[in-house]
Amino acid sequence: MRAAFLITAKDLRQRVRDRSAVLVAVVAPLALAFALGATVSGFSAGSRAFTIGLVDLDHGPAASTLQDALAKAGSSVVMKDVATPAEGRRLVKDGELDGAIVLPQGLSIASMGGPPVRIDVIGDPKNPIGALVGRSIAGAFATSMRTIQIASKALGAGPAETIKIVGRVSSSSPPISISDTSTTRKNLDPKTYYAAAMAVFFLFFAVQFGISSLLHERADGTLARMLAAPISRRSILAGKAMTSLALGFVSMTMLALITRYALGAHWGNPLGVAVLIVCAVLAATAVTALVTTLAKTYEQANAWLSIVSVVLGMLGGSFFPVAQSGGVLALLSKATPHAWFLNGLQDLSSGGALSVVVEPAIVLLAITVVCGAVALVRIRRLIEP
Amino acid sequence: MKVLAIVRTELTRTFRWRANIFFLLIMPMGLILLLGIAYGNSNARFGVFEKGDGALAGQLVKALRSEPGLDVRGYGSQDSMEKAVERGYVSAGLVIPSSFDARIQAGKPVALRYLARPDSLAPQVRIAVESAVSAQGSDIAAARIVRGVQKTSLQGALRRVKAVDLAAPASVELLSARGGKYPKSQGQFDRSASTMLLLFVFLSALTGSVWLIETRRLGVARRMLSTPSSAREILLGIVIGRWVITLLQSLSIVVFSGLVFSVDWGNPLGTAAVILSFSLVAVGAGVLIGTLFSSEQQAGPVGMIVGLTFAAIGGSMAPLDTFPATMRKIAHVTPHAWANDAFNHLLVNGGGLSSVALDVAVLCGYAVVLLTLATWRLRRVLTA
Repeated sequence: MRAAFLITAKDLRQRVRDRSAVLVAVVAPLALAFALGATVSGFSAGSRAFTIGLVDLDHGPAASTLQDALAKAGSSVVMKDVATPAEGRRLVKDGELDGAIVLPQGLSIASMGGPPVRIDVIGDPKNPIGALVGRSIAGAFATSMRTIQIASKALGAGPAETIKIVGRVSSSSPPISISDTSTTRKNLDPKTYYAAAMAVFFLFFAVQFGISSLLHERADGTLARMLAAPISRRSILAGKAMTSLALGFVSMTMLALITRYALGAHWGNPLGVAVLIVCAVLAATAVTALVTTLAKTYEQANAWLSIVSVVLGMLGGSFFPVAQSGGVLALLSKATPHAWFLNGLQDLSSGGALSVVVEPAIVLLAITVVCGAVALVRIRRLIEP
Repeated sequence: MKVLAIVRTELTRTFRWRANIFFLLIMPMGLILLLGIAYGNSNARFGVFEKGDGALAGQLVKALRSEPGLDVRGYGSQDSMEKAVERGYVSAGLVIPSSFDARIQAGKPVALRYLARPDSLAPQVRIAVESAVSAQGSDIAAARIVRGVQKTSLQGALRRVKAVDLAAPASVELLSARGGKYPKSQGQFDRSASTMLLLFVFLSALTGSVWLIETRRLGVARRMLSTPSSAREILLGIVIGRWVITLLQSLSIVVFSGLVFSVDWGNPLGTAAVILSFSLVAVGAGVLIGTLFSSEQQAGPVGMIVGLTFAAIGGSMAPLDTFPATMRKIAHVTPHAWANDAFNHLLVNGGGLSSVALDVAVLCGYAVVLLTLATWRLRRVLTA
């Protein structure tokens, strides 16, 4: 065991001295966590009031009916009068309005049973939600016109009676109602998300300095020398594995502490975070060991490890929350250690009980056991004299 | 001729290492795909959980799916949908109860649960849901009015309402503010293609600095200098070699993304000007890093850090227009921000070469400064 510690100590000294470990394990994730945390304001669009322009070419009561209906919708939409359709188009294009509704001439007459009209809604394809809101408001208005007319036709009522019916329609409750339930929010703020995402992304690079340096030692001939010394193969392996684990733990712990105190990231319950970090480091080391045993040369291992780390990081949500997009991507995302680590943190930092880390921890350990077992079987080949 | 030979050596050395094909080409394409799928449109994401499988419930979901600007995602359980709302995968979710069809057919009121995420677009999405729901409830609403006036049974009133033959008094037409009909879908991959091009061109030029260090470590540079070639020819060969690699990479991203994802790259002259000038900046930065460090273990991570950080700050990860105002100003320290602005003029506003003149000029300025520094340093480290 002493030999194993010596090997680990040698590796760590070597990596700290050429600064590569410091760069990969601390500087890179910090720089990126800072840059992304400062620039990404949020993953889902935040709330704001939408401004919808109203071009009234009808000059009848229809416009005020629409305004009243909107007032009920609350503060999420603000109406603004606009003089002409051309003006509306310009304001929508410039982004000053989220959408514009053109009430055509004859709309009020149409609502009394006159000839049908067409309500134009102007939207900007760059702002599809604005277009959606404008269209929905106009659509709901057109529907209410239809409801009244169908009722008055079924009753055989004339225009005067229809007006009375209008009063009745706005007072009766709709047959299909929507009851609101506000949910809690369980996502990390961008600052915390990127602190954690970058930490786990670069973790996969940091642990490479251990296991995969076996190939380097073999190419340089230092492995043969170690084998010639009274050191068991197991000690060599243990030494290399400990280098990976030590770099992983130190890197993750430092990042958690630095981002917590310098960037104001909210990692959540320290015990839960510690569990997740331990499991993530183990999983990263096992995955790295497995990929290393598949390669023939150091260069090959390096290339494959970078590819695997980058692909897992991309799918696992290190650069943006992939699971958000749903479908196949969300499923693929679940196959990465990154996603489980980040999901565990997400539940933890939103005030979840300590038990929320159990599931991610078990999955991460399962990844460790599976990859680690295959790697152990294959790795003997690497340390043959 | 000697310059060309050096250029060829650089190319051979780069592409003989197969993994480079992954980093230069496959990875950018993969990210263009991923980002395009995840953020390609700025639609509101909305979840639906249908407890039953009634025809009316199906109709409602179909109506919601056909709304422009709304991405409807079906969920298999209320629990999974609630989780998605909480995590912000969707802004809001609608629960359609299993009794939906039966209650509507019986004329009984139905309440749909609307799970809204605080501080999201949930109120705006609700307007769309209300509109779709009111369209579906129109007949029943009319029947209730009839019942209110004539005191008949609701079923009787509903039969009379259904018998009415009426053309819709008002139809709604959605028009684009940019002229013509509102497009059904827009280039989902356009934005991710241009931002990823910039990210990867710069990143690979910077991590390519490792090759320059290898050139020195393996003694390739010394051997070149021992031949009757001037330092100027060697420098030129190395810089042009790196530039050609960068341009080949850009060209393949443009061509492949055009073919596979039908990305519209806008005005060819404008796009070419941006790519040519930006790739020069990238080469200058890459060569400079290659001369500032002496080991691959240092230059590699530094290249990655600078490449990814600049991309993040310069709007190649999150779009510049979502940045806080101060950050947007700071962003323009990076060449990425200028190039992203230029692509915005070209691809979103459909501008031509003149619309990007300022951005390209700034990029050329960066290129001149970086290349001057880089060749000065390169001459020193190679001939030292």
